[in-house]
Amino acid sequence: MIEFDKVSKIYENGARGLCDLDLFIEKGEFVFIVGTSGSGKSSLVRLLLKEIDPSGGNIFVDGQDITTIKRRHLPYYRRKMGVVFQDFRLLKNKTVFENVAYAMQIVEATNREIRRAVPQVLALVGLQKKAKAYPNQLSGGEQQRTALARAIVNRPPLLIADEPTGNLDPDTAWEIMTLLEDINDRGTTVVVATHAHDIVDDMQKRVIALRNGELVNDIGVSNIPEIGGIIDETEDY
Amino acid sequence: MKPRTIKYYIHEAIRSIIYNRFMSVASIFAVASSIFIVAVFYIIGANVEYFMNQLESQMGMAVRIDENISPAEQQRLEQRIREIRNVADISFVCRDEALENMERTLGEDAVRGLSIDNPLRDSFIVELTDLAFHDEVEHAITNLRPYGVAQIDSDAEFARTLTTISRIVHIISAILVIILAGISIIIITNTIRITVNARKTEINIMKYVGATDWFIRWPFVLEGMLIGLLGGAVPALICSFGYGRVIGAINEIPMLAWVSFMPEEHIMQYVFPFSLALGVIIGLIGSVTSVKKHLKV
Repeated sequence: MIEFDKVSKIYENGARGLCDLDLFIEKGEFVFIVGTSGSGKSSLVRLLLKEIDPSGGNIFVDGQDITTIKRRHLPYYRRKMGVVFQDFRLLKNKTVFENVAYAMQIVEATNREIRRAVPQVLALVGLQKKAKAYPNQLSGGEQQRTALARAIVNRPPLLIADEPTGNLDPDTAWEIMTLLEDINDRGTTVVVATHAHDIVDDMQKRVIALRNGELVNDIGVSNIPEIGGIIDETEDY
Repeated sequence: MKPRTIKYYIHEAIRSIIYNRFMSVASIFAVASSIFIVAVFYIIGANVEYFMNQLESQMGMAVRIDENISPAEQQRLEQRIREIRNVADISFVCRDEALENMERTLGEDAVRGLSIDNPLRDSFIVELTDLAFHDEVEHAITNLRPYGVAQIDSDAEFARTLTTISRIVHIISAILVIILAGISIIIITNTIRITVNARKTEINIMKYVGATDWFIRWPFVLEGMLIGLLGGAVPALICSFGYGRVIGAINEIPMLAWVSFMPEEHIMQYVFPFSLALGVIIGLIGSVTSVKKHLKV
């Protein structure tokens, strides 16, 4: 599903984002990317979104080398993935329903398809009663669930979440992580970049730890008890 | 592009104007006031030019006819003058008519006794296509002396002064309209840019969700054009209803009653579509350039 082949990223100011990173994520996996600030988590996510281009190496998503995608084809690549950000990034002048529907409108879905799919996905994230509310009328958790609904409404094969629980209280954070797990159970590959080590510890998923742009640990589900070691190595991610 | 997508763009544009109503009203006001100033300068310039043209049309030259030529020769002379380049029209004024005109202008006392032995000659009053060709036409008519031209009466110096003034007014009004239109575009583009800048996060989100540049751009472009259209409609309506009243009021002032203004329909024929088109173009340029900056994500 995702392959990083000796990927490096050096920013214009000389800062190192990633250094010769080799990484492979299987289709249907649930993967945490962990590390301290400046470890390369954000660079990895931004590279996957093709917000930035690598300085070296190749990135393959679903067999396609995304480093060769032209700017005008970028929207079509991004439609293959759902994205969730720490700050929710909802359109404030649209209701919950409209925010979710927007992702379908850009792919020119019919009104009938929108009317069918949006309520379904809102029910999945538990927001069916908030369909007409605007983002400023929602709690942080509800906003993030709206963002999640928008991310999955087109049934993308890949979901990327960048610090999805960063602005949420622990209980709400758990609700979101449970939702992500549900989405993963339905076959979507989920990549979560996070600082929340308590969640990472408890969820028993694959963990990729980065430090200074390099892979320092890649713990599979079967090796989860070793995760404490990663915490020490990445200096309290 | 599918019809429902077009419907969506229009819906989004209108909705966005309503949602961002404060900035929308500010933009409409900026467009309206700028175009109004441009339109007022255009109207002033057009009227000065019209006034000059009116004066010019009254500034023909009188060609006095030799009394010894026959009616057939006089007819041939008229034809020769008519064939001179830049002669717009020619009319015959007989000596009795000329005397009556003189009496009307100078009063009965001035022409008393002249009716018994009228010293005036029959004349052709020659109108020019443009006063700028005065000297050229005068020279050509002078060459017709062997065919019965006795004398040419015209105020060459005044004609030259009028031509110069007319040219200056034309150039100044054109420059002013261009400068003001340019300033308006800058002001309005900046106003729309502020509106779009305030929504850069929105554009950013759209990009991450996978919207194409044109999918994002269209509602903004339509919004800009609609704001421009509304902004252009305000000065168009003010000028339409206000022009007739203003010239009416000016003509009621005894000292200015003689001033002739461009007909209302003529002004509106240009100002109305010009204001609307300028508004739409400004809105289009403003929105396209402003959105472009935020699309590179």
